Amino acid sequence: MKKHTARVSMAVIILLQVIFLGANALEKANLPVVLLSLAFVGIASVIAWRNVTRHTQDHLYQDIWLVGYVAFGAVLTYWLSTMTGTVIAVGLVGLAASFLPSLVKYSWVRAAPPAIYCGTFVGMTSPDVLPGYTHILFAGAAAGVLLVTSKNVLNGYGGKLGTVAFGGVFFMVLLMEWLWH
Amino acid sequence: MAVALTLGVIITGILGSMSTFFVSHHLGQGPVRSSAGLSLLVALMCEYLPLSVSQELASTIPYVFIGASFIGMASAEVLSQYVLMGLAGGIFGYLYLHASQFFTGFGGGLGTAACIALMVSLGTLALWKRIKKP
Repeated sequence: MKKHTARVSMAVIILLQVIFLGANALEKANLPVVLLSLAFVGIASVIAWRNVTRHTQDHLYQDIWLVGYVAFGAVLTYWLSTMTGTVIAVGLVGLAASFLPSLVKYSWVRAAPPAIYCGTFVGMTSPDVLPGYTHILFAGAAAGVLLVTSKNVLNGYGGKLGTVAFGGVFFMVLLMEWLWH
Repeated sequence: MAVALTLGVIITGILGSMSTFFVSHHLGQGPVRSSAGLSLLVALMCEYLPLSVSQELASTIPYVFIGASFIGMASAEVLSQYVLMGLAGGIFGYLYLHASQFFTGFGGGLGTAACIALMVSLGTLALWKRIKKP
Protein backbone atom coordinates (compact mmCIF):
# COMPACT_ATOMS: atom_id res chain seq x y z
CA MET A 1 0.00 0.00 0.00
CA LYS A 2 2.82 2.37 1.05
CA LYS A 3 4.69 1.57 -2.19
CA HIS A 4 1.61 2.08 -4.39
CA THR A 5 0.78 5.43 -2.73
CA ALA A 6 4.37 6.61 -3.28
CA ARG A 7 4.34 5.43 -6.92
CA VAL A 8 1.03 7.16 -7.70
CA SER A 9 2.17 10.40 -5.99
CA MET A 10 5.47 10.29 -7.86
CA ALA A 11 3.61 9.81 -11.15
CA VAL A 12 1.36 12.80 -10.33
CA ILE A 13 4.36 15.02 -9.48
CA ILE A 14 6.21 13.98 -12.67
CA LEU A 15 3.04 14.61 -14.71
CA LEU A 16 2.69 18.10 -13.20
CA GLN A 17 6.29 18.93 -14.13
CA VAL A 18 5.81 17.55 -17.66
CA ILE A 19 2.65 19.68 -18.10
CA PHE A 20 4.52 22.76 -16.80
CA LEU A 21 7.51 22.24 -19.11
CA GLY A 22 5.26 21.18 -21.99
CA ALA A 23 3.34 24.47 -21.81
CA ASN A 24 6.66 26.36 -21.95
CA ALA A 25 7.83 24.32 -24.96
CA LEU A 26 4.53 24.82 -26.83
CA GLU A 27 4.64 28.57 -26.31
CA LYS A 28 8.29 28.85 -27.36
CA ALA A 29 7.97 26.53 -30.38
CA ASN A 30 9.20 29.35 -32.63
CA LEU A 31 12.42 29.87 -30.62
CA PRO A 32 14.85 27.01 -31.44
CA VAL A 33 17.42 28.00 -28.78
CA VAL A 34 14.81 27.97 -26.01
CA LEU A 35 13.37 24.69 -27.33
CA LEU A 36 16.84 23.11 -27.32
CA SER A 37 17.52 24.30 -23.78
CA LEU A 38 14.12 22.96 -22.67
CA ALA A 39 15.03 19.62 -24.28
CA PHE A 40 18.21 19.57 -22.17
CA VAL A 41 16.12 20.47 -19.10
CA GLY A 42 13.89 17.47 -19.87
CA ILE A 43 16.81 15.04 -20.35
CA ALA A 44 18.66 16.19 -17.21
CA SER A 45 15.42 15.97 -15.20
CA VAL A 46 14.83 12.37 -16.37
CA ILE A 47 18.39 11.44 -15.29
CA ALA A 48 17.83 13.08 -11.88
CA TRP A 49 14.45 11.38 -11.39
CA ARG A 50 16.08 7.98 -11.99
CA ASN A 51 18.41 8.64 -9.03
CA VAL A 52 15.78 9.97 -6.60
CA THR A 53 16.07 8.37 -3.16
CA ARG A 54 12.97 6.47 -2.04
CA HIS A 55 11.75 6.70 1.56
CA THR A 56 9.53 4.28 3.46
CA GLN A 57 7.94 6.25 6.27
CA ASP A 58 4.55 5.07 7.53
CA HIS A 59 1.42 7.07 6.85
CA LEU A 60 -0.04 8.09 10.20
CA TYR A 61 -3.47 9.36 11.27
CA GLN A 62 -1.75 12.57 12.46
CA ASP A 63 -0.86 13.29 8.82
CA ILE A 64 -4.50 14.33 8.29
CA TRP A 65 -3.61 17.52 10.18
CA LEU A 66 -1.42 18.49 7.23
CA VAL A 67 -4.48 18.91 4.98
CA GLY A 68 -5.88 21.47 7.42
CA TYR A 69 -2.54 23.27 7.75
CA VAL A 70 -2.15 23.60 3.96
CA ALA A 71 -5.74 24.88 3.55
CA PHE A 72 -5.25 27.32 6.45
CA GLY A 73 -1.97 28.66 5.00
CA ALA A 74 -3.62 29.07 1.60
CA VAL A 75 -6.65 31.04 2.81
CA LEU A 76 -4.59 33.20 5.19
CA THR A 77 -2.07 34.13 2.48
CA TYR A 78 -4.80 34.78 -0.10
CA TRP A 79 -6.48 37.18 2.35
CA LEU A 80 -3.25 38.86 3.48
CA SER A 81 -1.98 39.34 -0.09
CA THR A 82 -4.91 41.64 -0.87
CA MET A 83 -3.43 44.06 1.68
CA THR A 84 0.34 43.56 1.57
CA GLY A 85 1.22 42.09 -1.83
CA THR A 86 1.87 38.42 -2.60
CA VAL A 87 5.51 37.87 -1.65
CA ILE A 88 5.23 39.88 1.59
CA ALA A 89 2.14 37.84 2.54
CA VAL A 90 3.94 34.55 1.86
CA GLY A 91 6.98 35.74 3.82
CA LEU A 92 4.91 36.86 6.82
CA VAL A 93 2.83 33.67 7.02
CA GLY A 94 5.85 31.41 6.42
CA LEU A 95 8.00 33.23 8.98
CA ALA A 96 5.24 33.10 11.61
CA ALA A 97 4.66 29.38 10.87
CA SER A 98 8.37 28.61 11.33
CA PHE A 99 8.15 29.77 14.96
CA LEU A 100 5.03 27.69 15.78
CA PRO A 101 6.82 24.54 17.06
CA SER A 102 8.89 26.57 19.52
CA LEU A 103 5.78 28.42 20.80
CA VAL A 104 3.31 25.51 20.93
CA LYS A 105 4.82 22.31 22.26
CA TYR A 106 2.14 19.83 21.06
CA SER A 107 3.35 17.04 18.79
CA TRP A 108 0.72 17.82 16.14
CA VAL A 109 2.24 21.27 15.63
CA ARG A 110 5.69 19.90 14.78
CA ALA A 111 4.86 19.26 11.11
CA ALA A 112 2.95 22.53 10.71
CA PRO A 113 5.64 24.91 9.27
CA PRO A 114 6.31 23.13 5.93
CA ALA A 115 2.60 22.34 5.46
CA ILE A 116 1.52 25.94 6.14
CA TYR A 117 4.32 27.18 3.89
CA CYS A 118 3.04 24.82 1.16
CA GLY A 119 -0.39 26.40 1.69
CA THR A 120 1.04 29.89 1.23
CA PHE A 121 2.05 28.92 -2.33
CA VAL A 122 -1.56 27.96 -3.06
CA GLY A 123 -2.56 31.33 -1.58
CA MET A 124 -0.29 33.09 -4.13
CA THR A 125 -2.85 32.20 -6.79
CA SER A 126 -4.27 35.18 -8.64
CA PRO A 127 -8.01 35.94 -8.22
CA ASP A 128 -8.21 35.69 -12.04
CA VAL A 129 -7.37 31.97 -11.74
CA LEU A 130 -9.26 31.03 -8.55
CA PRO A 131 -11.77 33.75 -7.71
CA GLY A 132 -12.67 33.38 -4.07
CA TYR A 133 -11.88 31.90 -0.68
CA THR A 134 -13.90 28.69 -1.26
CA HIS A 135 -11.86 27.86 -4.35
CA ILE A 136 -8.61 28.55 -2.50
CA LEU A 137 -9.78 26.44 0.45
CA PHE A 138 -10.51 23.46 -1.81
CA ALA A 139 -7.26 23.95 -3.77
CA GLY A 140 -5.42 24.01 -0.43
CA ALA A 141 -7.18 20.84 0.70
CA ALA A 142 -6.32 19.12 -2.61
CA ALA A 143 -2.68 20.17 -2.21
CA GLY A 144 -2.82 18.88 1.38
CA VAL A 145 -3.98 15.45 0.21
CA LEU A 146 -1.13 15.36 -2.34
CA LEU A 147 1.31 16.42 0.40
CA VAL A 148 0.16 13.55 2.64
CA THR A 149 0.24 10.94 -0.13
CA SER A 150 3.65 12.13 -1.37
CA LYS A 151 5.21 11.73 2.08
CA ASN A 152 7.79 9.27 0.74
CA VAL A 153 8.49 11.12 -2.52
CA LEU A 154 11.14 13.84 -3.05
CA ASN A 155 11.87 14.25 0.67
CA GLY A 156 14.43 17.03 1.09
CA TYR A 157 14.12 18.23 -2.50
CA GLY A 158 13.66 21.99 -2.84
CA GLY A 159 10.53 22.91 -4.77
CA LYS A 160 8.56 19.85 -3.72
CA LEU A 161 6.11 21.94 -1.68
CA GLY A 162 5.61 24.29 -4.63
CA THR A 163 4.95 21.41 -7.01
CA VAL A 164 2.41 20.01 -4.54
CA ALA A 165 0.74 23.46 -4.31
CA PHE A 166 0.69 23.69 -8.11
CA GLY A 167 -1.02 20.29 -8.16
CA GLY A 168 -3.76 21.54 -5.84
CA VAL A 169 -4.37 24.69 -7.89
CA PHE A 170 -4.26 22.78 -11.18
CA PHE A 171 -6.75 20.20 -9.86
CA MET A 172 -9.12 22.97 -8.73
CA VAL A 173 -8.89 24.77 -12.10
CA LEU A 174 -9.64 21.48 -13.91
CA LEU A 175 -12.58 20.83 -11.57
CA MET A 176 -13.99 24.31 -12.20
CA GLU A 177 -13.65 23.85 -15.96
CA TRP A 178 -15.40 20.47 -15.74
CA LEU A 179 -18.23 21.78 -13.58
CA TRP A 180 -18.85 24.83 -15.76
CA HIS A 181 -18.91 22.88 -19.03
CA MET B 1 16.97 47.06 -20.76
CA ALA B 2 16.24 43.44 -21.70
CA VAL B 3 19.85 42.49 -20.97
CA ALA B 4 19.70 44.17 -17.55
CA LEU B 5 16.45 42.33 -16.74
CA THR B 6 17.86 38.97 -17.88
CA LEU B 7 21.06 39.45 -15.89
CA GLY B 8 19.14 40.74 -12.86
CA VAL B 9 16.80 37.73 -12.88
CA ILE B 10 19.62 35.18 -13.24
CA ILE B 11 21.79 36.84 -10.56
CA THR B 12 18.77 37.03 -8.21
CA GLY B 13 18.11 33.34 -8.86
CA ILE B 14 21.70 32.41 -7.97
CA LEU B 15 21.69 34.59 -4.82
CA GLY B 16 18.23 33.38 -3.75
CA SER B 17 19.12 29.69 -3.78
CA MET B 18 22.60 30.07 -2.26
CA SER B 19 21.65 32.51 0.52
CA THR B 20 18.64 30.40 1.58
CA PHE B 21 20.80 27.28 1.73
CA PHE B 22 23.42 29.17 3.75
CA VAL B 23 20.93 30.56 6.30
CA SER B 24 19.12 27.22 6.52
CA HIS B 25 22.15 24.99 7.08
CA HIS B 26 25.07 27.14 8.21
CA LEU B 27 23.05 29.48 10.43
CA GLY B 28 20.75 26.64 11.48
CA GLN B 29 17.46 28.44 10.85
CA GLY B 30 15.80 25.60 8.92
CA PRO B 31 14.35 25.70 5.42
CA VAL B 32 10.98 27.40 6.04
CA ARG B 33 12.30 30.28 8.19
CA SER B 34 15.23 30.87 5.80
CA SER B 35 13.12 30.97 2.67
CA ALA B 36 10.25 32.99 4.18
CA GLY B 37 12.47 35.37 6.16
CA LEU B 38 14.88 36.20 3.33
CA SER B 39 12.05 36.54 0.80
CA LEU B 40 10.19 38.88 3.14
CA LEU B 41 13.33 40.97 3.59
CA VAL B 42 13.95 41.21 -0.18
CA ALA B 43 10.27 42.01 -0.90
CA LEU B 44 10.25 44.78 1.74
CA MET B 45 13.50 46.22 0.35
CA CYS B 46 12.15 46.28 -3.21
CA GLU B 47 8.88 47.81 -1.98
CA TYR B 48 10.17 50.52 0.34
CA LEU B 49 13.83 51.27 -0.46
CA PRO B 50 14.84 53.48 -3.38
CA LEU B 51 16.80 50.95 -5.47
CA SER B 52 18.90 51.96 -8.45
CA VAL B 53 17.26 49.41 -10.76
CA SER B 54 14.36 49.73 -13.18
CA GLN B 55 10.79 49.54 -11.88
CA GLU B 56 10.26 46.34 -13.90
CA LEU B 57 13.27 44.63 -12.33
CA ALA B 58 12.38 45.86 -8.83
CA SER B 59 8.91 44.35 -9.14
CA THR B 60 10.31 41.08 -10.59
CA ILE B 61 13.11 40.50 -8.04
CA PRO B 62 10.85 39.42 -5.10
CA TYR B 63 9.16 36.70 -7.23
CA VAL B 64 12.45 35.41 -8.61
CA PHE B 65 14.06 35.47 -5.17
CA ILE B 66 11.24 33.57 -3.44
CA GLY B 67 11.15 31.02 -6.27
CA ALA B 68 14.91 30.48 -6.12
CA SER B 69 14.78 30.29 -2.32
CA PHE B 70 12.68 27.09 -2.68
CA ILE B 71 15.75 25.47 -4.24
CA GLY B 72 17.80 26.52 -1.20
CA MET B 73 15.31 24.68 1.02
CA ALA B 74 16.85 21.39 -0.19
CA SER B 75 18.45 19.19 2.42
CA ALA B 76 22.23 18.80 2.49
CA GLU B 77 21.79 15.07 1.70
CA VAL B 78 20.22 15.98 -1.64
CA LEU B 79 22.60 18.78 -2.65
CA SER B 80 25.39 20.27 -0.57
CA GLN B 81 27.62 21.99 -3.12
CA TYR B 82 27.17 25.74 -3.42
CA VAL B 83 28.23 25.67 -7.09
CA LEU B 84 25.37 23.32 -7.96
CA MET B 85 23.00 25.31 -5.76
CA GLY B 86 23.96 28.44 -7.68
CA LEU B 87 23.63 26.59 -11.00
CA ALA B 88 20.10 25.52 -10.02
CA GLY B 89 19.30 29.14 -9.09
CA GLY B 90 20.58 30.34 -12.48
CA ILE B 91 18.54 27.68 -14.29
CA PHE B 92 15.49 28.77 -12.29
CA GLY B 93 16.08 32.36 -13.48
CA TYR B 94 16.25 31.12 -17.08
CA LEU B 95 13.02 29.11 -16.66
CA TYR B 96 11.36 32.16 -15.06
CA LEU B 97 12.30 34.31 -18.08
CA HIS B 98 10.84 31.72 -20.48
CA ALA B 99 7.85 30.69 -18.38
CA SER B 100 4.58 29.95 -20.13
CA GLN B 101 1.92 32.66 -19.94
CA PHE B 102 -0.63 29.87 -19.62
CA PHE B 103 0.23 29.28 -15.96
CA THR B 104 0.57 32.94 -14.99
CA GLY B 105 -1.19 33.46 -11.67
CA PHE B 106 -1.16 29.75 -10.76
CA GLY B 107 0.08 29.32 -7.19
CA GLY B 108 2.93 26.82 -7.00
CA GLY B 109 4.25 27.65 -10.48
CA LEU B 110 7.43 29.12 -9.01
CA GLY B 111 7.93 26.03 -6.84
CA THR B 112 7.44 23.70 -9.79
CA ALA B 113 10.06 25.65 -11.77
CA ALA B 114 12.35 25.51 -8.71
CA CYS B 115 11.96 21.74 -8.42
CA ILE B 116 12.69 21.30 -12.14
CA ALA B 117 15.77 23.56 -11.84
CA LEU B 118 17.07 21.50 -8.90
CA MET B 119 16.48 18.27 -10.87
CA VAL B 120 18.38 19.71 -13.86
CA SER B 121 21.28 20.61 -11.58
CA LEU B 122 21.34 17.09 -10.11
CA GLY B 123 20.94 15.55 -13.57
CA THR B 124 23.84 17.63 -14.90
CA LEU B 125 26.02 16.43 -12.02
CA ALA B 126 25.11 12.81 -12.77
CA LEU B 127 25.82 13.35 -16.49
CA TRP B 128 29.17 15.00 -15.70
CA LYS B 129 30.18 12.08 -13.45
CA ARG B 130 29.22 9.61 -16.21
CA ILE B 131 31.29 11.50 -18.81
CA LYS B 132 34.30 11.84 -16.49
CA LYS B 133 34.24 8.12 -15.62
CA PRO B 134 37.10 6.36 -17.44
